[in-house]
Amino acid sequence: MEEMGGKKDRSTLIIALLMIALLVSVVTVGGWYYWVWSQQRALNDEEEAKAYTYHCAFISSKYEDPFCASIYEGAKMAGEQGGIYVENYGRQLSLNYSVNELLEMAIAAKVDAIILEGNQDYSTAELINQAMDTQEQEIAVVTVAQDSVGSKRCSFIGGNKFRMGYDLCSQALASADEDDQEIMVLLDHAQETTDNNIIISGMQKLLDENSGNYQLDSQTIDGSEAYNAEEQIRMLIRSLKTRPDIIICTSLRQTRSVYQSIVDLNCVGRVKVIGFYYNEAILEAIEKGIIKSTYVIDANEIGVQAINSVREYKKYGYVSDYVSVDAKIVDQQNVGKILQELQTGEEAE
Amino acid sequence: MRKKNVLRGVKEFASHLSIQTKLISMFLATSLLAFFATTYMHANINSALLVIEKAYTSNEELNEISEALNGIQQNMKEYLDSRSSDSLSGYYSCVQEYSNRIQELNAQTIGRDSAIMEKNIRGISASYLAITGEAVEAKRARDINRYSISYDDASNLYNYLNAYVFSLNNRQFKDNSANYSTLAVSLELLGRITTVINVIVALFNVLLIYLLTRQITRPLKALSKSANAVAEGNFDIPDLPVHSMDEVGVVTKTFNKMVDSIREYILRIKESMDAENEAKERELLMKNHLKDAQLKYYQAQIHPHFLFNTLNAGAQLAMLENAERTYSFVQKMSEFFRYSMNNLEKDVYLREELELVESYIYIMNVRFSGEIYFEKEVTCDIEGIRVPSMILQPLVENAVQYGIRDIDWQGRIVLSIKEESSRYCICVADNGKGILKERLEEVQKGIVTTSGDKELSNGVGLGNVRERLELYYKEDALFSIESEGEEKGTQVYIFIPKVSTESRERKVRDKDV
Repeated sequence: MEEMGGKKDRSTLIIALLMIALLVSVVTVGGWYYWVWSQQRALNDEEEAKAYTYHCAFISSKYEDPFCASIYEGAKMAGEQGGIYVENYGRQLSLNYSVNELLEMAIAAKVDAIILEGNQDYSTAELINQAMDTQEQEIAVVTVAQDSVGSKRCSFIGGNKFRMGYDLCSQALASADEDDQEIMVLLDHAQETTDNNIIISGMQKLLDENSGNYQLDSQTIDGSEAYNAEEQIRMLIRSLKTRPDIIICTSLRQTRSVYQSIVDLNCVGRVKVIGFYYNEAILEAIEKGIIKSTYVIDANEIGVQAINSVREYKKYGYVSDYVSVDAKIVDQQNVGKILQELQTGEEAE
Repeated sequence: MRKKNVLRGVKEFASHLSIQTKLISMFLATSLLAFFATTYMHANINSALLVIEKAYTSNEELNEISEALNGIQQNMKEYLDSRSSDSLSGYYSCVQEYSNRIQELNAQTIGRDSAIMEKNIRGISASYLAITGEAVEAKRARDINRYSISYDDASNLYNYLNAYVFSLNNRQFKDNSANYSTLAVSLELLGRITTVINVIVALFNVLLIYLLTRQITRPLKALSKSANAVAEGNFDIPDLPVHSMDEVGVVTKTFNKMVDSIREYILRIKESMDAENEAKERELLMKNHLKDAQLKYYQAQIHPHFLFNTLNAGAQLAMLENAERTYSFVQKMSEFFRYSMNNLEKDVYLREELELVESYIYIMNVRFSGEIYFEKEVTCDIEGIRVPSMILQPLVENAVQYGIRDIDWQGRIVLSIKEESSRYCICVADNGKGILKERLEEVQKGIVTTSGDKELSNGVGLGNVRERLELYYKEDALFSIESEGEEKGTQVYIFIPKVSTESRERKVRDKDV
C-alpha cells in the first residue's frame, strides 16, 4: 500500500514537473513570439515595401492643383501595376524647388523616366533634351497636360486644345442670354502661347459657324506670383467697363478665382462662368447655377497614358508622339453624379 | 526497450543518491532555472535596447554623410582656389569616405519614401562626385572655363544633396521617433511578459522544492511514526517501503531489520517460556497425582511400619508353628505393602510390576478362596523395561473388583505382554461382567473412575494410572479400555513406547554407574 503511495507520489511529481515545464516553455516561447509579432506589426509599414523595376519622377509646378494631383494619382496607380514607381518628385524635400531644379535633380539622380507637366521655358526643354540624351542611361521624358515645345520629350499626353476651345465656346454660347455679347477667355500665362492660340482658334471657329453677334476677348492671367491671378480676375469683374457677360476659364485656378470673385462682388447671374476642371466647391457652384458648366479632361487617364508611354518607350525605344485624352462637360445635368462620386471617394480615403 | 532500460538506469542512479547530493541537485536545479529565466529576460531586454538603439543609427549615419559631403565641397573649393596638395588629399580622403558611406544607402527602387530618397541621394551623389572629379581634373589642366562650369554644376548638386540629406534626416528622425514610441510600448509589454515568466518560474521553484523535500521527508515521517509505535511496544507493524538507497533508505532498511529481529527474539523467548511453563506444570501435575496416590495409599494404611513389623512377626510365628501356607501368605502381604510403600515415587522395572501383580493375586486368592484364575502371557523380553510404579496392580485390581467378582462362572484374568513395532503392549483381560457401551464411553473420557470401593482397593484408580502414564511418557493414547458388552469381559491396554523405555533404561544405567 505504502509502495503504491510512493509510486503515485513519484508519478504526481513527474506529471507536475512536466506540466509546469510545459507551461513555462509555452509562456516563454509564446511571450517571445507575441513580443516579436507586436514589434513587427508596429514597424510593419516599412518592411512590406514593394520593389519596382523602374523609377519614374513626376514633376509639376502645381502639386496642390487637383488636376495635377489627379494626373499623379493615375500615373502612380498604373505604375504600381506595371512595376514602375512614380515619385512625386521633390515633395519629400523640405524646400520648394522649381521645375527646372527638380529636373536637374532627377537627371542627376539617374531616374528611369520623368513625367513632366511641360511649359514654354526654353531651359526646361534643354533639360529635357539633356535627360533624353544621357548616354549612360536614357531617361524617358513624357510631358503631360501641357507640352514643352521644342524639346526631345518622347511623348505628350493631353487634351486637344482646338477641341477644347471649340467645346468651351459652345458651352458659353449655350449659356448665353439674348443680350449677352461679350465673351472673355482667360488664358494661362504658364501655358504655351501656341496652345493658347489654338484654344482661341477653336473658339473662333465656333463663333464663325454661329450667326450670333458675339465679341470674343482674351486676357492672359499670370499666376507665377502669389495672389497675382486672383487680383487680376477681381479687377476684371469689379470694373463695369471691363466686366464681360461670359467668362471662359482655361485653368482650375482661374475657375476658382472667378467663382469667388463673382460671389464676393455680387455678380451671380450677371456674369456667366464656364469653368475648367473641378473641385468640390466648383461642383457645388455648378449645382447652385453659379457656374454654368465646366470642361473636364480626364486627368487620371492622362497619368495612366503617361505610364503606358513610359513602359512602351522603355520596351521598344519609341512611342507615339502625342496621345490624346478625352474630355467631357459637367453641367447641372450630371453634376450630382460626379459630386456624389467625389464625396464617396473622399470618404473612402 | 532501450528507452525503458535507460529510464530504469536513471531511476536506479537517482535512488542511490545521498540526501546531501539530492539537496544540492535540487538547489542547483532551481538556481539554474532562475538563472536561465534571468538570462532569457536579460537577452530580451538587450535585444529590445539594440532595436531602440538602431532607431537612431540611421540619423547618425546621415549626419556623417553630410559631414563627408561638406568636406568634399570645401576641399574642392579650396583646391580650385589654391591648388594646394593638402586640399587635394583632403578632397580624395573625403571622397573615399563619402563613397563608402553612400554604398550603405539603398540603390533599389523600393516603394518607400525614405528608400527612394536614399536612392536619389545615391544617384545624385554619383553625379556630384563625377562633376567634382571633372572640376579637379580641369583645375589640374588649368582649364578655367571647364572647372568654373563644373564647380557651378557641382555646387548645384551639392545644394540638392544637402537638401536631400537634410530632408531624409528629418523624415527618418520622425520615423525613428515613431519607432521609438512603438518600441517603448513594446518594451513595456516585454516587461509584463518577463514578470509573468518570473512569477511562473518562482512558483515552479517553490513547487519543485516542496515536492522534492516531501520525497525526502515522507519516508522520515513514516519512519518516526513506526519508531513511535515500536517505542509504545507495538511490534506488529508492516515493513516500511524502501524507495531509495540514500541515508533515509539505509536507516529505514536497518529499522525494518531491527524490528524483525526484535519480533523474532520476543517470539523465541515466549516459546521458551511456554515450554518451561509447560514442563513446570507437568511436573506439578505429576507430583499432585503422586501425592494423591500416596495420600490415598496412606489413608489405606495404618501405621505401615508397624504393619510390616507385625506381618513379619506373624510370618515368623507361622514358621515356628509350621504353618507354611500362613507363612507364605503373610510374607506375600508384607512384600506387597513394602513394594507399594518404597516404589511409589519412582519408576520400576516391568518385571517388578509383574511380581507385584502375582503377589496381589496370591493375596486375593487366599482372601477369596482361590476363585481367581490368573494367567500371564509374556511373549517378549521384558528385561530392562522401565515403567512408572503401580500401573499393573491397579489394572488387575480393577479386573478383580469390577470384572470377575460376584460372577457365576469361573473368573479368569489374563495379563499379556507383547512387543509391537514401536511399543510394548500390556493387556489385562478378564472374562467378567464387562462394561456397558455407554459407561465404557464415560470411563474412556475419564468422567467416571473405576476406583471407588475403598474396602477392596489399594486406592490407585485407572484414571490415575492413565494420567501418570501420559505424564511419564509425554504422550497421549497410552491407555485404553475395551469391552464388547455386558458379561463379555473387559480388556485394559497399556502401551509402553520403546524409545522412551530404552532412553529411560539408559538413564537408569547411567545413574547406577
